[in-house]
Formats: sequence, structure tokens, C-alpha cells
Amino acid sequence: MSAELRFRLVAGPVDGAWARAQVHGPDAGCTLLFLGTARERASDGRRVLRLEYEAYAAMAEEEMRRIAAEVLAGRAVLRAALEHAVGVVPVGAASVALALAAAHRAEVFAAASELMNELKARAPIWKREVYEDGSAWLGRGS
Amino acid sequence: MPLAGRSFRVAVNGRYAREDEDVPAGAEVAFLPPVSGG
Repeated sequence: MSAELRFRLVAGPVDGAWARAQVHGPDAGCTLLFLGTARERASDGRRVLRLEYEAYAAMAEEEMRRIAAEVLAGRAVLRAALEHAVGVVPVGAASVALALAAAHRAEVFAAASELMNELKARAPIWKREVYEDGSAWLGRGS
Repeated sequence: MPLAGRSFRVAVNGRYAREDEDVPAGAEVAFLPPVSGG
């Protein structure tokens, strides 16, 4: 039986405290906390003032649960939690926090990487970079 | 599916739809642009 994902969307930046608390327990030998943060430069070098996120909230939680069920199946991860921001995230602040607990570290490193890859490809969440001279919604093929 | 020069995915009742999926009457249908969360 694989771990179920605890998930929530929150207004504004996240700090990881909620996600970490969700996976805490005496049976864990390690806890991995990943924070995705807003960086000051876009891929094309433009200065980013802030990020703005929108989500299809009614679908996001269920899609993330489906992703987690696939990624965590057969892995010895004890607990998983993911918190994602909607709204404004200033440069330097975190837009996503993922926490995983397991008895041993190899499981959480592999699972975290795969969960984030799938989130970026499937979760109905959209990011807009706001620059000094405009803004752009990001997304493959957009 | 291509629409106005962009590719969208279709969700039916909060779940990505298969290309051959029938849409039941009253379903919530959403056209989703490429995602970019994280």
C-alpha cells in the first residue's frame, strides 16, 4: 500500500512548515523537504519582478492524488505532502513545498524528483512571470 | 487539441479526457492550456 498524498492550494507563498508537519513521525528515518522558489531571472535573462499562479482547483487536488498514486506505488515512502501557491509569489519566496518521509533516503530522493516532474507536466496550475516591461504565461508550447 | 494556434488538453469532470472519450450530458468540460506549475 503506497502513501497517500496530502495536498492543498494556498494563497501566496508557502514556507514548507505545513508539508513537513504532515509527514512527521517516529517511524521515519529521513524527511526530504523540497521548496521550489521564484528566481529573479527568466530563462531568457529578463528580470522577474514576481510570479503569479492560477489553478483549476477543483481538478488540481485529484490530479495530484492520481500522480502520487502512480509515482509512489511500490515505493517505501511513508507519507507525502504537497502545498502549492496560487496568487502572487515574490522573487525569493517559495511557490511549492513537497515533503516526503521514509525509513531510508534513497526512496525519497527518487520519488521527489518524479513527483515534481509529473506535477509540472500534468497538474492544472499555471504560472505567469511578471517583468519590468510586461508578463508571460509559461507552459510547454505556449 | 489545437485551438487558435495553441494546443489545449480537454478535461471532463475534472479529469483529463481520452481522445475517444464520450462527453456525457451535463459534464463539466474544460480546455486547459499547457500547464506550468511548480
